[in-house]
Formats: sequence, C-alpha cells, structure tokens
Amino acid sequence: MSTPRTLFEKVWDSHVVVDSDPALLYVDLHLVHEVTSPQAFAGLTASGRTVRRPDLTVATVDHGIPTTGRSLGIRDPLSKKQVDALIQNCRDQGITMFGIDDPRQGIVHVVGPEQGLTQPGLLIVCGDSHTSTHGAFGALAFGIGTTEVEHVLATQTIWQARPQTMAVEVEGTLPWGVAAKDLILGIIAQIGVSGGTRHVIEYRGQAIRDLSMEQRMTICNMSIEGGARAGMIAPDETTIRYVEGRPFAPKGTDWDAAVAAWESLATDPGAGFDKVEVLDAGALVPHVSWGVNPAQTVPVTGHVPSPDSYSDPQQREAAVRALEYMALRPGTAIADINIDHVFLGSCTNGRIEDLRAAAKVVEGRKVDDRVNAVVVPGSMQVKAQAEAEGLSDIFERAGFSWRDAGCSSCLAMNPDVIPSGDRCASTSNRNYEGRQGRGARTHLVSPAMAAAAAVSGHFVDVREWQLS
Amino acid sequence: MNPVRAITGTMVPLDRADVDTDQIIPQQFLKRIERDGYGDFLFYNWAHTDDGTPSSDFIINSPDRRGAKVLVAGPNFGCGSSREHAPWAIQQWGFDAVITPSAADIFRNNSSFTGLLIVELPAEAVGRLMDVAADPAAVVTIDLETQTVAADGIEEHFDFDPTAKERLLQGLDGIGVTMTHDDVIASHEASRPSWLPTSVG
Amino acid sequence: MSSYSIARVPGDGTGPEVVQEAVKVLDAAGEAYGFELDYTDLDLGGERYLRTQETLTGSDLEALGNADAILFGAVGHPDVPPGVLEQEILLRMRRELDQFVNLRPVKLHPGVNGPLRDVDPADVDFVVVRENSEGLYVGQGEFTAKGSPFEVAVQLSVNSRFGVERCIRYAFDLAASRPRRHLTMCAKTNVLTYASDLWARVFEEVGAEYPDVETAYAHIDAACLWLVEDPSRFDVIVTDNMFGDIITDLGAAVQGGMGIASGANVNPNGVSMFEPIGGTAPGFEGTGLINPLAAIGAGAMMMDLLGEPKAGAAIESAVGEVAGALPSLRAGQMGISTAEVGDRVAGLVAESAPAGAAR
Repeated sequence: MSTPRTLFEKVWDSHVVVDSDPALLYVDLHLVHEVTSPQAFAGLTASGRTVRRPDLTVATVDHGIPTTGRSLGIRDPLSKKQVDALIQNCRDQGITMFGIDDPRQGIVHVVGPEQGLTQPGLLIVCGDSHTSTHGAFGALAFGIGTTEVEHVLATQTIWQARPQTMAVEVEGTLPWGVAAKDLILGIIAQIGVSGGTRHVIEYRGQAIRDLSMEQRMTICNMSIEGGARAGMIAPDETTIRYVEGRPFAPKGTDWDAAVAAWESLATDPGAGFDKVEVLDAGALVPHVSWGVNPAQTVPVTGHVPSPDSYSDPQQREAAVRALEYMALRPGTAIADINIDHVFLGSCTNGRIEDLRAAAKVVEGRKVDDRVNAVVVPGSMQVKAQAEAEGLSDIFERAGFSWRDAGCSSCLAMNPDVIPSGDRCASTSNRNYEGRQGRGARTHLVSPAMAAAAAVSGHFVDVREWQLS
Repeated sequence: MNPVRAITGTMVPLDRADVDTDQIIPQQFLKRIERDGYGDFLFYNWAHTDDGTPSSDFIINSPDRRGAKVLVAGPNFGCGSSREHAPWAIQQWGFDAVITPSAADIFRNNSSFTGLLIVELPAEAVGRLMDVAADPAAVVTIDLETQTVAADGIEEHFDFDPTAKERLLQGLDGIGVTMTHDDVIASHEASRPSWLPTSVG
Repeated sequence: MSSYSIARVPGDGTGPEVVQEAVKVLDAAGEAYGFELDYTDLDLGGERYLRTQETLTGSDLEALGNADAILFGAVGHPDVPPGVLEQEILLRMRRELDQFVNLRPVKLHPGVNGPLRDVDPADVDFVVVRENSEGLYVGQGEFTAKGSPFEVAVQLSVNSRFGVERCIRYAFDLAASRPRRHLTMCAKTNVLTYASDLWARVFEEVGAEYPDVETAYAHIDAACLWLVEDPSRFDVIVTDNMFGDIITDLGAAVQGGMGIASGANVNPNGVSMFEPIGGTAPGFEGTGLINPLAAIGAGAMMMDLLGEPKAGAAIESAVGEVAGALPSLRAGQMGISTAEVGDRVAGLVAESAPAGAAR
C-alpha cells in the first residue's frame, strides 16, 4: 500500500524529470502573453535556440491592448511594439496565437480554461502571477518571470524548489449574496498576504466542492494574494463536466483515459499537510477592501478601521499610509464611501457567471450619474455569450460601457486608466497603490457588489436588495 | 550572469512591510521590450511627483544614498505580480542585494536569475540593520560563501538555498545547465500519455 | 525616448522639396515632444523608372514593410506612360501593405481663402474614410469587340463583405473617438442596387454595435451638393473607393486646395503611408515656390497615428496658423518661399513644447 499523497504531491511527482532539490519539472502547458515574453524570445534567438515544444505553447494578447476602438489599431506605440513582437515571435516559432482579431482572444487565464487547454493534473506555467487560476482544475499552475519563460521556451522544463503544503478547509455553505470573491478575501484576511509563502494551498471542504468551476477559478486566482506559490482544488464531477467537449479537451477513447487519470488525483485519505487553516463559509459576508493590499478588507456593513487596531507597529504604520493614500478616515462606514468608477472584469471575475451576477443586480436600474461604469468581458467568447444572453443589452441600457476583452483597468497598462484621486469599485485582484493608475484608489469587491455600487454611487450591502 | 561572491557597500533602508512589485516598478514600464534601462524607474511613483520630477523626500533620491549597494527592506518584500522587471529595476539602479525578513516566492526566484542577492534575516536583526542604515555612510558586507552579513555591531548568519548559491557563485546560465539533462527530458517526453492536450489538437 | 523608423520616399518633381520641409517640422516636433525619427530613404518614382525600369522591387517593399510609417512625397513623370507609376507603385504598395483605409481630413483653417463664400471655418471640419482596397479599383472588366462599332466596355465594382465591413468598422471607431460622434455613409443605393445595398446593410448592422454614434446616409450626389452648400453636416464620412476619390478632391478644393490637403493610406495594424495628396507639380520643381503645408500636414497625421497625439496636434495647429496668415495657399502666390513656410511652422512647433518637458 503506497503512502497517501495529496493532490499537489501526485501532480508534482508525475512531472519530475530530475529528482533533485530544486527538482526539474516538465511543463504540460506554457501560456504566453505580450508583456513578459519579448525579452524571453529575444534571449532565445540571441543564443541560437528555438522553442522546444511549440505545440505545448499557446499565446494571446491581453495586458496592454485597448478594449475599445480596436479597428483603429493599437494606438499606444509601445503596446503596439509588444504585440507586433509577439506576432512575429509566434510566427517564427510556429506557436498558436489568439491575436487581437481572433474570436478566442482574451485574458490568458480566462482563455486557457474555456478552450479546454487547462485540464486536471497538468503542470501549467505563464509569465503572470495569476496563473494560479488554473489550479481550480487540479492542475499545478504558477506564475514565472521572464527568464523562466525563456527557460521553458527552450527546454519545456522548469526548476522548482519543492513547496510545502497548506490545506484551507472551508466547511458550511456560502450564504446568499456572498460570492466566491468574498470567500477568497475572507481566506486572505485570515492567513495574511504572506501566510501562504513557500506553500501550495489546496482548498478543500464542502463549501469548495459546492462551487462552480468559475467560482473555483476566482478562489485559486487570488491564492497569490495570500502569498502562496499556487492554489489547487481537486478535480471532481463538476470539473469533468466543465472540460468535456471543449475545443482542446481529449475526445473518444482519449477522453475515457483522461477521466480515469483525473479521478485518481484527489488527495488520498490520511494524506497530511504542513499547515491547515479552517474557515466557516456560513460566517462570511460581502467584503470591501479599504486599504492598499488585498488583506486590508472589512465587511460592507463595517467601518474603515483605525490604525490603532493593529498591534504590530509596522502594520500600524502601513495602515496609516494606506488611509492617507486612500483618503479615508477611521470609523467611516463603508456604505458611506462614494465611488467614481466601476470596473467589472479581470481574470478574477470576468467570466460569464460574474457578468450574469452583475446583470441581475443592474437589470432595470441605471448607473448613478456620477459613476463611470465599464464592463470588460474576460474573453471575446465570454463577450459573445453575454451578448447572446442579452446581458450586454442590460448593461448598456443601464449606462455601462460594454467593451472588448483584455486585462484593462485591472492594471491599467492600456488606455483604461483610473484618474488620480478617483475611487474605483473593482472586481479585480489587487488594490496596490497606483495599480489602476497613479493615485487611483481601488476597492476590491465581488461582481454583484460592484454592480450595486455602480447603481447607488456608493457601497451597498447587495444582500439587502430584492433580487428575483 | 556575473558570479556573486561578496557584496560590500552602503545601504538604503526602506522600513515598510509588504512592498509589492507594482511599487518597485509600475505598470507603464512593463511596456518596454528591452531588458535594461529600468534603473531610472525604480519605485517610480514614490520617487517622483505627479508631474514627473524626482521627489526630494524619497530616500533613493538623496544624494548621500547614491552608490548604495544594499537595500534593507521590511517583510514580504516583492509580493504581488511576477514581473521580473522588479529585480531588474533594483539591480539596474545599483543595488547588488536586498536584505529582508522575508521575500515573496516569485520575486526571490526571479532575483536569482539576475544575480540580485536576496538575503533573509530574522525581523529583529533586520530591525537592527535598519538602525545602522540610518547613516548613509554605514557599510555592510554580505558574504555568500560564508553566508554572513556584517555591519557595525552586527554579525548574522543567513540560510540560503544551496543550489541557488552554487549557481550564483559560479554565474551559471540556467538553460545550458538544464540541457545537460536533455536525455532524461526526452525520455520523460516520450512517456507522457497521448491524451494530453496540444495546441494542434 | 521613443524612436520611430520612417521610410522616406521623396519621389519626383516637387516631392523632395515638400518632404524636406515636412522632415524639418517633424524633427522640431521630436525635439519639443521627446521622440526620435530614424529615416530610411527609398528612391521610388518616375526618375528611377526611367533609369532602371524598376517601379517597386521586393526589397523596396520589405523596407517599406519594416518601417513604423512611410512619409511619401509624390510620383509622376511626363515621360512615363500614364498608369505605370500609379498601378505599380501606389496601388501595389497599398495592396501589399493592406492599407485598406484612405484617410482624408478636410479642415478649413481660419484665414484661408477657400472657394466657399460666407462659410465659417468651424463648419468645415470632417474626415473622409475612403475604402482603399476594392470597389472599382480592382481593375476588373472586359472589352468585347474592341475598336469596332459594336464595342462593349464593362467595368466591375467588387465589394466584399470583409472589405466593406472592416472599412465601416474603422469609420465607426473613428467617429466614436470624436466629440460629435457622427458618421455619414455616402453611396448610391437607388442605382447601385447590389454594391450599395451591401454597404447599407453592413452600415446598419455594425451601427447597432455603436449606440453612441449618430448615423446618417447621403447619396453621393447629394453629399457633393451639401459639401458645398452646408459642410457643417459632416463629421466623419465613410464611402467606397471611387466615390471617396471624388469627394475627397472636392473636399481638397473646399479646404483651400492641393497646397494644404494631406492624406494617409492606413493599415491600422501595420504600416501606414502619409502624403500630400497633390502631384509632382512639374512646373514648380526646384523653384522654391511649391506649398509644403500639405506634406507637413501629412507628417502631423503620421505622428498622431504613430501614438504621439500631442506632437501631431501641435504640428496641425502650427500648419493652421501659418496657412491662415499666408495671402494664398497657391504655389508661387504664398509671398514666401517653400523653405520659409517650413521654417515658420517648425518655429511654432518648437515654441509649443510643453514647459519643462522631460521624457
């Protein structure tokens, strides 16, 4: 009888090519976008190398591309150069690329899963920290830097120090009006922004099993915000049903073989973790971030905290600076904070279920006069589906601007920059200083909460709204 | 990459926790396709006012900090985005090392490829070093071989991953080393199940 | 500092002189707004053709394709058979580089004496998006019984869904980016019951995706009439290749003539070409009398589309100011020389530099 292993250990073990420390692991899927790849391709060519496995490499454009006026071309000369470089590099190396005119184009971590490229048990890397998203399928997926991108292009392998494991057990049921976004914000609030450092988190428990694939992706997406190397959720029936029939999913006898392999991945009974955290989903409420990192959150029913509530002097000082940057006073009710912008999108919450949740809140209502509200679907496929479902009509009638797919305001590398001093209710994953534009003030929320804020002009507890 | 053995120089103390890579190098500089030239953009938003002029009260702009080699930072340094532009900016500004109670995983990893030495010391020791670093002329020596940090009244040992240490001491190129394992990579490739996805369907 | 590689094609006749002034102004803009232009010169045109029998070689095309943008003077030579240079250089370049939009801004600057009486310059400020790759320009047709009394000549207008739609989308995105957000399509739906019918359907379908853009339709003949009688109707016009050829020349007249009219052959995702729309003006070659403002204005369009809108706007504004102060825009009647016009514009551009600008 072999030792019980966790999901992480099973996936890790099956990818070890050289069993040293760090180990050399084989990469099943290398996702590429235009921002972290130019120097990698240039380095590859300069050293006379070529891509080892173009057939295991897929590229898209997402970070710097415009979400509007695309027929006019990419107007920012630097972004255009980056995209042109990726087009040329993919052409030279024979890599499949979903370019700006491709109906499959979108945010890389939305595209991989919806195309069926992301599958259980795979080792997936990308030059982007939110690669952890794909862990929702029971894949081991993590972000890498440009030098490692070059290494993977050249060798299809990556050296990794073996991380430790953390189980985050979530029991109970998510209350109505509390989203997966609130769950992961709750987890980060509990473990802290560095609680997961050097660990891979496995999210377990009934509340996790009850989540849809898109909700699982939201959770795994923000694992990095808790400092973790990666986040994983064991594949199950929900996973299998999601992957089945997608363009790059296995078919026929391959499908049967794949499913059999996937069904053996879940953590064995008795397998241990280096750390365990426990949460009660039933105790969660909709959260809003007030500060400048994803752990600085409070319930929407709460108030901006006082720095004095922190015992650690460094945290206290950080809170003082955060309040100054965010122009907030301790004690202010979250519901009293007015907003200027709403951004619905990102690899965290830019999928069809997120848009449905927001549309439900918005339907028949209008965006507040003072608010500039924008919806950026996570991919052009999500966009098309939303249009077919009539969601885009709902958003546009309400006064949202309906855009093409890309990372957009999440990190404001494209023209969708939030002006300095403005407040943005955002469904993205980071509220760092300047993230959405120099001086921009980001408040992280779930899609339903962002939609409600768009209509009210300030934060509201979406649970109190009568939704059919 | 140039071999790294020992670093001696003055310091810049940045006594803040959770300094994320968006602060180290903001998004607009990620549009560049070059690998160099990021030194001018280090901590850009903190180091410049709204109209782009250098801010005199941000420490790296102080004339007496010019030429510093070691950045002393708070815990969870380099958290957030995986942008390797962050260690590039730090190194291209002139730093050869960062001393912190803890570095974020991706940032620590990325730094090892450029030869930016990340030294993790207990918070209490970093605190003492911050006090010493208040003097712009104070010198610190980091010896990778002996894994020690020495400054006025401070002598500390640090842990360091042995493989990364070897790589830094020898200035090894990652891909060349990996390709010495080409045959095992190839045999692993040959043994992968056929139902695994490829982009050609 | 941003740098852009420009393929510079001076060409024949007065082409080199006007391009020289455009470069003078562009370099001043680079100094003022913090960018660099690296020029690669290409010898294309009638002079070269007469010397070498070459019009556009593979390596010429490669050089053009590798640039960030093309700055073009004019081609034409009395000794070259008509059509050779037009077909083999201009049309071939547009085709190979897929410059499927011809962009023609028509703006009457205050102080310019155009042919319209009692018109407020503010009322003449529109852009024509002319489909640039198909229509009547595909060169398809046939003669039957040529030269006989029974001769029949048939000329085809090819209008593809793909070609029409990408042009119309460009026009809608352009209109959406302008303050007035208004787009007029010009066609001839009552006569061209196939070609214009496709245009009208695509216009309506794509228009549904732009609820913020107000649309209008005008038969091309009516549009020409209104362009003279009530130019304020127009903000962005989208039309096919032949109608666009006609209405943009009418627009050139209204805005003050060939001396000031600039245009671009645009590939939004590739390399675009920017030129004064006038020809080589052989009678004025080497006299220092030709008006370079159209070429300079082409440079302004180039910088705007390259992603330096502030520099583009500064050049455009300087062109307007100088144009308004000249007694005439006609060659030989400007009162000052070609080079002096260039100097004036360059001087204004240099003065417009943002204070303390550091890039």
